[in-house]
Amino acid sequence: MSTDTIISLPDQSTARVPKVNFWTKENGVLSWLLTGDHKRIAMLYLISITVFFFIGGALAGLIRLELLTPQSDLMATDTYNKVFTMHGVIMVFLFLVPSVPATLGNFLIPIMIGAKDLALPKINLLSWYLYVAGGITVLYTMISGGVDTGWTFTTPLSTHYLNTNVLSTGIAVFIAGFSSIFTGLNFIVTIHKMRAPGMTWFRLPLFVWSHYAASILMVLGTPVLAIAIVLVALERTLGIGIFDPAKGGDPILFQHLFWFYSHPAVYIMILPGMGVISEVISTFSRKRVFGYTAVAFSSVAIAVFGFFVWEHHMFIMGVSTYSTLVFSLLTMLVAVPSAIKIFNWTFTLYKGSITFETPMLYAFGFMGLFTIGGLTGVFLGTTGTDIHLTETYFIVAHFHFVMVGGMLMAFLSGIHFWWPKITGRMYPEKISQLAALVTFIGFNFTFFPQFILGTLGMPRRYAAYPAEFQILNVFSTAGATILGVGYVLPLLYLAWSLKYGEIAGNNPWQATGLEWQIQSPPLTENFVEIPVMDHDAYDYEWLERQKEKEVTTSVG
Amino acid sequence: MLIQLTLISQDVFHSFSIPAFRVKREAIPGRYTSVWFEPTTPGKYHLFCTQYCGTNHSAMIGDIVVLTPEGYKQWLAESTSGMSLAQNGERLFATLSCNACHNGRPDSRGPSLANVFGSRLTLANGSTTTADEAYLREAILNPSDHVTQGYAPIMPTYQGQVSEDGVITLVEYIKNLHSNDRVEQTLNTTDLLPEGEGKAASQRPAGSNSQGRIPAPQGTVKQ
Repeated sequence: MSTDTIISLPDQSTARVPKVNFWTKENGVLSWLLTGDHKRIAMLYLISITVFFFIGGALAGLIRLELLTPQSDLMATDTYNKVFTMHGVIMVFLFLVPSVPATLGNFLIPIMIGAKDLALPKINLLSWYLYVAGGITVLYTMISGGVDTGWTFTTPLSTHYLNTNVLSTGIAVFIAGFSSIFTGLNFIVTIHKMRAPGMTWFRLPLFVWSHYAASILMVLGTPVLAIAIVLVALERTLGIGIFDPAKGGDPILFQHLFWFYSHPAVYIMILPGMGVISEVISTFSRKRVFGYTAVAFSSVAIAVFGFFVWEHHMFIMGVSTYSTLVFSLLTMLVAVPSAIKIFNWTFTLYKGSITFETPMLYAFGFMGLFTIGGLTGVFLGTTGTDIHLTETYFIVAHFHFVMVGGMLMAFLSGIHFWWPKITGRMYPEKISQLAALVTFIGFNFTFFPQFILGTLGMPRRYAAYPAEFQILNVFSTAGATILGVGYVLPLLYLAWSLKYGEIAGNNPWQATGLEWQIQSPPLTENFVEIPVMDHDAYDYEWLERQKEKEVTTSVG
Repeated sequence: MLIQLTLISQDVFHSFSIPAFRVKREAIPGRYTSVWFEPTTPGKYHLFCTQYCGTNHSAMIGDIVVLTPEGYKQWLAESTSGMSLAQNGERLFATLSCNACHNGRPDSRGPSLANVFGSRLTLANGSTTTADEAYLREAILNPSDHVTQGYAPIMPTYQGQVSEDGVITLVEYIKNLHSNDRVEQTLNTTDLLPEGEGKAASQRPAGSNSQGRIPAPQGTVKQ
């Protein structure tokens, strides 16, 4: 790297990864499968969600390949329907919802607040087993014939008209939902009860705040999804008629129940990513996060407002015009805290000493793409424009900008940022910067044309489409291949770096967070002694003083 | 010319979308929704179902053909179907012998349906309601819950006996029924052609068989 870098690695000729750490403390498969250590559970999660991410990604590749031509020629239409359904189910329930919280959150929250573990380690392990059970049920569904409800399970299609594996998918989502509830519960208890002395609420890193907000959503929202899924199952098997107009039921009720979870779920997915971005932006600008309190409370505000906007998914579904006005207004309001975050990050950059390591590149990608995703959300929240844009590729592009451009960028940013802490070794900087760039270019190539397709009126979930839309679909598919390269690259070089990466030392980024003051990889107990917090989360002057004294807690 | 459509689905959620006209509305099982638009330029436009509805979702498409008034007249003259919804409804009304009771005679067992559309009704349970499309549909499918004051609850339910297609034609017929003279006459329905109306009603083609032309009557052309 040139001079504009902050990486400070120990002398590689003498540096060693500490012999005793959470990876080496115990050996054998059972020591992993029965572990209570939040860091090991985080690694179990990381491996399993990576597997599901690449399965979901492969399905996305199939979707793009099919859409290369206007005809339904690569797959039959019902195969296509199954593929996009599985893509949605896997990506939403098995990747996006657990992505950052269950891996980075699990790994970092106890360390960031100065605790030895999460409050409920066995519940934490149970949540991973539930996740795996849900995941295996999804794989069973896929292998035994698939399901074609779409990830939204719309009744009465899912209850009365499809002969595919709706039940097993429902069971999978139900089980995976409990995994998410347990993770959220664990975080809430831990953040309330396990903070180190001196770690007041307003000294918590913003990563912890955003996870706290997301946890509230998980605990309050996910049970509603579970109820909706159970009702679908009962309607399908016993015909209880709650969603069936012929029996006095109401299919709109399912939409209300489903979106009451599934809109807050969007914030479950994005909030932890925002936490990552706060940490990364601050570290690589060498500055306190601008407006710490505002950013902290904006997370809570998103969590609160997030529960009162669900009906904007149903504007054209025959709900009353007056309620669409109310929900449109509330939808505008939820854009405010998101904007607060974007503005505060921008102000954090202002006059910062910015460097451009890989996590920062991904974070810049997040800020740009999430802003586009968020603003197009306002188009969709406006009742007039929603009529034209909803149910088209515009909405597909919108939520991929938020979820892939936002959340996945944040996830990759966080993985790179904390990789030295997790593994004790650096990832290769040059190639990972290239990967970040390739991802950004590929992403825009893939999803920007879909905004145009949507405004032209191409409906979503179409296996075949009018020929006039082909050119933009070819662009999109071409972009998807670039994006695919951007995702495979980190998988390869991060695996490579496990053995060949440079030794990272305790604090390669010279960051202030508590996690950077302990050895890399951490001890199973995290801290030799529980730290006492006497400064706030982003106090770079404190770090300077700390470096003068050069205290290291490395053992072995 | 304004076109107003009443939509209902007899199976799953569908969505009626004409991107060029910026209109989109879900067709929902069990309830009427409505959408309107005013075509101004003759031509052929995409019609899409935009709510995922099963295996052949992407085949649930069609064309909206907007014609000049002359072109429409010509199309109508060449058309072999030529029956309006209300005409079909009148035929069904007679087939089901609805006119045995709903005939407007002083001793009839059912209330007169002339000009019932849009009127305020007092029901047997004392409540009042406006007889809109949704009410008429409900009254056909669940008559015992919608008995007009002064009449006995003797009407059988037509749930499962009349398709949503049929119900919408019956409703359209009742909407256009302004006197009881016609109820017992032989069919002479030329003045019920949509040409003469201020607005025409059509119906969402529910189910998988939805390809084909959906003619949109066209009044004035601004050019």
